[in-house]
Amino acid sequence: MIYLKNNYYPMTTATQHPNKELVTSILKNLSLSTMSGKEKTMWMMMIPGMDETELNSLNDLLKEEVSELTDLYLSVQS
Amino acid sequence: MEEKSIFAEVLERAGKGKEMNDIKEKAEGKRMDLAGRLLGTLQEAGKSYASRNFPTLMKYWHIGEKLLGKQDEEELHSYENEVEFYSAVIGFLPDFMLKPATNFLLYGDRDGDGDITGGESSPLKAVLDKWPIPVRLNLRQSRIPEEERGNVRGLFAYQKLDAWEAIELTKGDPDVILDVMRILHQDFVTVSRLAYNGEEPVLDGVFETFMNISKEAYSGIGGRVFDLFKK
Repeated sequence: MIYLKNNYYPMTTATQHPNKELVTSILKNLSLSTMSGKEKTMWMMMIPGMDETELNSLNDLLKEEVSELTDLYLSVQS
Repeated sequence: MEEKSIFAEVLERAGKGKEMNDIKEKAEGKRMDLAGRLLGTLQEAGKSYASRNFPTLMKYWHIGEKLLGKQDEEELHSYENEVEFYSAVIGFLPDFMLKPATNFLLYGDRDGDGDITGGESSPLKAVLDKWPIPVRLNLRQSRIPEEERGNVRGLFAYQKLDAWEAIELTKGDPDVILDVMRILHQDFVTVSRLAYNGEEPVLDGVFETFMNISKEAYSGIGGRVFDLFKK
């Protein structure tokens, strides 16, 4: 059974993406961003092909936008 | 229906819509730089990204020359797949990014200022010189440059123009460029299917014949290429 599992169902073993944490952060910020749904889809398509530097740039841009939006939101509530 | 950010509803109701839009526009500008770089539009560095991610697309723009030498079937298919993928990505681009993304195809516009008079060095022009196609423009008067408006009447201008003329007339309108791409793509698909489904003797010279026919008239191209196979 173990033999079968390892040899015939190799896709069941998920591999850890080297930038998984970074991509998770991007996706969280992406969901909070004010960009249109169309643009979100575009980034979702591009993210898997981007290298670490590009992912970092995107993450920084999104974090900056979300941080400013949060500041604005908190200024309303206070 | 357009999906709204979770901030949008609250901030708009709280009268902070203007500030939110300022943040949105600023972020858009910065993201456009990044996307432009990734799509190879605004900076030279993008070219390496483009050749890494769209290797055959870069070759595609020299396909006019490439097709004259024989390509194997697999490579032609990869051209098609590449262009289909690129068209799909462009389909997901938000409107404000369309222009730089299609200027990438013109290449004359390296600085992104919208001036395509440097089109002499454009790979797209190189292809269109070898493979002229007509496009039918359907433009609102307002989209036609002011100095050209006297030449056309009515609210809409229907004109059948050479593809490069149309691109120049509309100053590189993304819609026109995408139309040109679609027509070119269709031609390549037609030729590659017909050429590689045929017998060996038909393959010889079919591309050159196709080029000559397409120079005469694009419209009847399908029928004429089929006639070649009947002989």
